[in-house]
Amino acid sequence: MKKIIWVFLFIFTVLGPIQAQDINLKPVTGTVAVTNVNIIPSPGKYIENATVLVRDGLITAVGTNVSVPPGARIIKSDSMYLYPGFILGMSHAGITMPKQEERPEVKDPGNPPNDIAGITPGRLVNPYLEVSHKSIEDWRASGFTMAQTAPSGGMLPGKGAMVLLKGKSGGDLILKNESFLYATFDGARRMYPSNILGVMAKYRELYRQAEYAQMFRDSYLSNPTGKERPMYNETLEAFYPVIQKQIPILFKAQEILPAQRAILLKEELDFNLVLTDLKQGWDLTQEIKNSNSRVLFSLELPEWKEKKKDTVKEEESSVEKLQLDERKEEFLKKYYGQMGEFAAAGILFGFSGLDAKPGEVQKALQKMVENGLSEDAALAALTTNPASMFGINRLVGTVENGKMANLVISSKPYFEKDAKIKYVMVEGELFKYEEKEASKADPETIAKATGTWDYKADTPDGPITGTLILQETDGVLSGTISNSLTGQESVLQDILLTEDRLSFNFDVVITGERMEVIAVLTLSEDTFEGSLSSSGQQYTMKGTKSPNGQD
Amino acid sequence: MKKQFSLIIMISLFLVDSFSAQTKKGDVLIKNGTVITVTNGTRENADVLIRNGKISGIGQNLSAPSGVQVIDATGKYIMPGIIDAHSHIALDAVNEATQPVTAQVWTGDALNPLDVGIYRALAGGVTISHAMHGSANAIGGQNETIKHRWGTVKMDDIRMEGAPRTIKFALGENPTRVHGEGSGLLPRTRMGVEQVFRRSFSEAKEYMEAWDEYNNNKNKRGFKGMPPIYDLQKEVIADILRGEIIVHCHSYRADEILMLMEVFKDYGIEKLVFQHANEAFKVAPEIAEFGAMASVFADWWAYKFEVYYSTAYNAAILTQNGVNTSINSDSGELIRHLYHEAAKTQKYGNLTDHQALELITLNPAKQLGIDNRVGSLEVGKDGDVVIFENHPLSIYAIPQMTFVDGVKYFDIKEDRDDIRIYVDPLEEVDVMREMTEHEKCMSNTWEFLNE
Repeated sequence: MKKIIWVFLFIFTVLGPIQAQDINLKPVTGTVAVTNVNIIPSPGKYIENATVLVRDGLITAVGTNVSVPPGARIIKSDSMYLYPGFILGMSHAGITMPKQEERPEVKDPGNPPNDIAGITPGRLVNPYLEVSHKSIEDWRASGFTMAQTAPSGGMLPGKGAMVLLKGKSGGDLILKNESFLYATFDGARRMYPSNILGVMAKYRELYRQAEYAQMFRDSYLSNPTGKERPMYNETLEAFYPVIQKQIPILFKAQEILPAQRAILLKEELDFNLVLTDLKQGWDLTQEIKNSNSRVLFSLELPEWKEKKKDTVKEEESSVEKLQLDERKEEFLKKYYGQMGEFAAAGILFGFSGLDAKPGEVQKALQKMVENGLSEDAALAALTTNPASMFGINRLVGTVENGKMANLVISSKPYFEKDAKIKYVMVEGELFKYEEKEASKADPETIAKATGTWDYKADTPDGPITGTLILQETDGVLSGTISNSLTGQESVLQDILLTEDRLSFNFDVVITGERMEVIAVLTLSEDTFEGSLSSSGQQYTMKGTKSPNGQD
Repeated sequence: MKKQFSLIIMISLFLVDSFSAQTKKGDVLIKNGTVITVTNGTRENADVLIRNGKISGIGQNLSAPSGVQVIDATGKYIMPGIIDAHSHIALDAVNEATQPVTAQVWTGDALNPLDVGIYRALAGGVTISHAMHGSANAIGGQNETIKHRWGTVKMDDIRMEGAPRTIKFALGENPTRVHGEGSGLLPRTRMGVEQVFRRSFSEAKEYMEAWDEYNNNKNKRGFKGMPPIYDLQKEVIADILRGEIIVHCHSYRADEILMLMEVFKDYGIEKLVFQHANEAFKVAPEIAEFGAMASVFADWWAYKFEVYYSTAYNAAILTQNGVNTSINSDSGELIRHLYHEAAKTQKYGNLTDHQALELITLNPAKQLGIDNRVGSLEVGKDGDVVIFENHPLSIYAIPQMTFVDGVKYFDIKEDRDDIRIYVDPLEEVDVMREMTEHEKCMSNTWEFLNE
């Protein structure tokens, strides 16, 4: 039974978020010159008013004294800023996994087949990688030209690849396949290993089995006479390059305890570790440094909402509430401040995007810079660090003669507020971004939506009722929603209204965990019908306009 | 293989050691209290001096070396830190309930030093607890003995360095419900539970022999054999057979307690502690003869069918029959007043103060194999100490300060409102609780239980 406590916040506008549009500028010539641009060729370097010349996907000249050959396509980028293309660490960019059976039949839950227990380290990205996947376009629009990507699902989802964020087919994207093993602490549902206890034991066992298997295979290959043939084992074979330290394990470890568990395994089993999608690393600087692990920080950190000063409310708040707010703020600073500390400690790190929204990455990066990460270190974490961590630093990571033409062009210095990405180039292919404002709803539609609505939502645990209040100021919609379960009122976010369609969302807290609830409604004269959905569950919702509410 | 495995153990011990070397050690002089040593009587107006985490002096008019904090305990009672031989606090997962045998798993992997339960236990004077695997499986996982060094975020900081390995076993309804009824597997009955043990021990024995043979021959000229398949579960059960792991077995009925001792005799396993053991009083002489121990509740039973028959005299009867007995909590709530639980044996069974206090100090220390380090106030032992207002067996007893390794981790006068170590910056004040806490012993198993 899910008891839903709706809480929350914010005032949003009828104007949708400003949407960037990805326009692929088809090459009419293989040569492109980006002129009159301020270049940051690598972290800490700067060339004012210079030119970058690109030919057939490679950078052929960088500087103030570059002569543009006739026939080159010229991209005038006066007063803009040009950076090396960003490189995203671990993500699931471009990946679509097949639907898994929710409750697969297993005869003996203690010994399930590996593939349904989430143990598929031999899986490669190839069958799941699609160039048309929206994430490719989204990450590119945020300045990323390359990404690590891997299959998802289970404790050992598969082996990942470094991909370019452009191409005509899935295979085109792949720059370096099988370049890491992706691992998580996710247990298999209702079967072994079902939680952290089993998962840790399974890692130890698989790793040791693989070591023995490899040892015997080697001795068999060198002299098979008289020896029993070792059976091919796809699962164990997948570990061989890890054991030989040819590839690292990217261990998803967002919180402080999983991060320690990954280090524990590294020290016991001895493999190259990249702590992946780390969110809580500030107390582990020493451990991470001592264990010689690499880090990919998550780009999805707790949202830092600037507080609006509300003096009346502050006075009403209890000491306990104020103390809690203070602690929450203190922890926000840790989340965004840790990157600066890691940089100072000399730990090599990049960023990953397992659950980050590409459109919000720039804001998060700016917050890190505000909290002590230097712009140079931030840029390094986006470019040169991942390039050297993953052995592609001779190919990408800087704007230099001979490197792959992966570039980002921004309207202002990238870490400044309001900086907008104007162009992204991936291996010489140029993408242009223009802002486009969503159309405003007309006054008539707004009038239809505003007012007080009584609603009822049917859940399997009985109906929830409440009041939805929508109001308009200067064409901007805001509102609140209450519910019968807790009597609390939440503020609506991301309100979108077009003709008869109204949608908004709000956060709810279920026993301390925040979840997003999305409402999508179709408006009639004074009734609406639609749905509420949250974490895969959908409930029907109906409402009528309350006459008292119409002022 | 044995060699290699012990090498692994050595390496991991070294790692644990190199981490634990960093845990905090304190210096303190506690003056003028009634010192309950447990092993050496009670001394009025006495002092306890702790240097660098170890007790360095017990006596009168000890003077504090310069820089050592002095605490005046006039009118108060000083006793060894309480030890809980059965707990599930500070764990992210308790049961790996998918197999009847999960010797390969280890609660030491699931430690959660951020669990506020650690602080609550300190507030009840408990300095060490036995963070156990649950009772869903006939052979459950290995446990971890933890020291309540509250305030750290490091898993390694709360491990009790050097504590012997222990493992959870379970008899009766829990394994038969989870695996027999839940998944249609062995064990479905108590006979099946016995069979699970016998089969596991026999297979582990064969496994050991296969590896011994491989290791003895692998360097011989012309050897062509393949190594046996490495099996972590059998590795651990082999270590039980080698006597390297203390078995802590969840049990209720007298008949199955006898059964397990018979099985252990057949396989030559000696280190055995019965947990709960509500009917142990019926077979107390037999338990004493085997040399097994018992860790029981003071007065809790009738929460399921197999435990309808019990008595609050259980601990006293076991004690008087020469069974090393302790009183445990198995609960994040009971752990806060184990001293009160121990006092119940004075109403039910007339145990002396000394006997009653042993139930929560020295006896559980023996059951965990750590009595050379803790469980009493003796020079050279760890500086794990509690200061009580009123005698710890009094109904008015209130712990005032709790020290682990000479470091004060709880002080009733400095008890902050929000003691949590990490705070979620997005958390809202949550006024509703989804469910009340119940028998954590069976957590992570609900999916396997037929309702």
